Amino acid sequence: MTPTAIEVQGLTKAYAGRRVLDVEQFALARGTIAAVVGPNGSGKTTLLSVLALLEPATTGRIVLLGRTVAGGNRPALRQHIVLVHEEPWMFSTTVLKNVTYGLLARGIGRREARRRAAVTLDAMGLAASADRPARHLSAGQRRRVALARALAVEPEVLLLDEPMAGLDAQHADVIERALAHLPGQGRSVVLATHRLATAYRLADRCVGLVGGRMTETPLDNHFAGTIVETGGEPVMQIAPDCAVHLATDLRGPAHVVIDPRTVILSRRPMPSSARNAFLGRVAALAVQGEGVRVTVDVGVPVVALVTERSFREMGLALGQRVAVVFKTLSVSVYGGGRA
Amino acid sequence: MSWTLDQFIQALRLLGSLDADVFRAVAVSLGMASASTLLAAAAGLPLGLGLGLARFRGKRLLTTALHALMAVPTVLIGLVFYAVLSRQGLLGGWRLLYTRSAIVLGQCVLALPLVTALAHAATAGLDPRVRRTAQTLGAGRWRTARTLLSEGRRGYLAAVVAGFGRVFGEVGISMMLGGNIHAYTRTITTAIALETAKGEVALGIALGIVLMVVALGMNLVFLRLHGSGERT
Repeated sequence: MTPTAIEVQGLTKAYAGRRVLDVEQFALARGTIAAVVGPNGSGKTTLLSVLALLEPATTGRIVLLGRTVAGGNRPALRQHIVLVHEEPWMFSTTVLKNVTYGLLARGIGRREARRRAAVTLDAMGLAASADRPARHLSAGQRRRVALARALAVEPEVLLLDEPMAGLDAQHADVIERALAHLPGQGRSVVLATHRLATAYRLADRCVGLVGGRMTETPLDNHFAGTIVETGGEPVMQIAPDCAVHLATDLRGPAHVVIDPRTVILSRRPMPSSARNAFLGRVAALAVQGEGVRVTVDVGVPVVALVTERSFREMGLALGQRVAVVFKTLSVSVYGGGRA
Repeated sequence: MSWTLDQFIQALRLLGSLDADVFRAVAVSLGMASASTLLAAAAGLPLGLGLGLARFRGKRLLTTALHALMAVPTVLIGLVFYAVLSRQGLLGGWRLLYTRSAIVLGQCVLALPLVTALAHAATAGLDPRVRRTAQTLGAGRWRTARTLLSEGRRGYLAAVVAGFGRVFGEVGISMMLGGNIHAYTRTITTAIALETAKGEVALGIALGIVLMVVALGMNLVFLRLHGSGERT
């Protein structure tokens, strides 16, 4: 058994000549959950559709469970991977028949399919709805049915598009608990979300996706705006008193991402070569891995990741005034965004 | 004016005294239309489905041609098949002219473009998630097609109903390929044409009323099926 569930190299997807996805490399280890975090329109759904083998990539190579995806083996490989859409389609029949669909498609007998579907529905707290028309369910229930429908076939790879969007805490909790079991069973999950909190809570690893391109840094400091030229320099205004200096030839609508590991905090403004320095107040503190996530409100929240030692030495506290400093070159710029 | 009214009044009186010949014509009409619609649906639904899903060069041209074929007059189809099925024709040896099979063949060709075009429209109108959901859950080509037909059944049923309506009311093909043979290929429409030509306008109108009642009845049956399609 290969240790990797999905491996992607040089993957691009273009519609009518416009490239919407450009992933140089991505690998998902078996038995892990990866979160792809990005704003709306960043290419998350396209990425999942391509990974689910529902849409062909324009270029690039996908290796699924050790087998390179080619035209001929797509239907066979689809038996191992299931995508749950953000707004899942319910077949116009009962909830139970929706959940048996994938089992019957795999040649499992009707009786066994019904039994397995019933078990899965029970686990998702939907046993009482088994005979109800699936179309009559609420959005939250439909999301759970769709997840049950996917889990019932016990896929080796599960792809979820915004699994928590629009769900109340109770429904989200059911889904989170269902997902938490999967890595232990050797199953792998890719979930796309625009919510960092969801990504951090569920995933072993978070990657960012902006303008169709993947970044290994999660999108803490992601800002959308318009790049204009001020004093001969490209600048994006991310808050009324916060104009970020950039090193790019791009002008117009764009996204910028500042790696939190490159953001420096100081107790007072300091002279340095860094072109970006803003004063703000500490708005949130959280432990993240070996370091501390410090969120500073400079008109918008900017996250800095500092070591525990630095944090202690600086004696940072909530509400404290600090300067946020980062170099122009540490700001990644992605064109074509929505201002 | 009084003559026209007179014919209608006579027609209503005749309705009560219609003989077995009329019911035979109804049976032939229903039989021919059902058989040809079934054949047209068997070919047209998969064709429309495939046309709706496939992407290929010239698709728009093909769709336009299909729409143009929907407007072909029945008498032209009758004429073409007459030329092909006549003893001296290409398939004259099959001895199909003036048989029920010839009518079914012609009517099937008449309904096929309509059923295909409407099935294509129904497929194009289906939510793209239907196909994607079926595929991601592991459905192969046939199961996916069955799922699409099931999820879009209202549209596909409408295509079949329209096809039935087109052939049930046609006269050109039945007349030219069936020959209007009493108790064999005489349909309601050819009977109307015959009676009117004989000057029996009132009987023609009475048969027309029968035609409309049967058509209404068939549509009510389809409507009921349509309703059951909305069950869940």
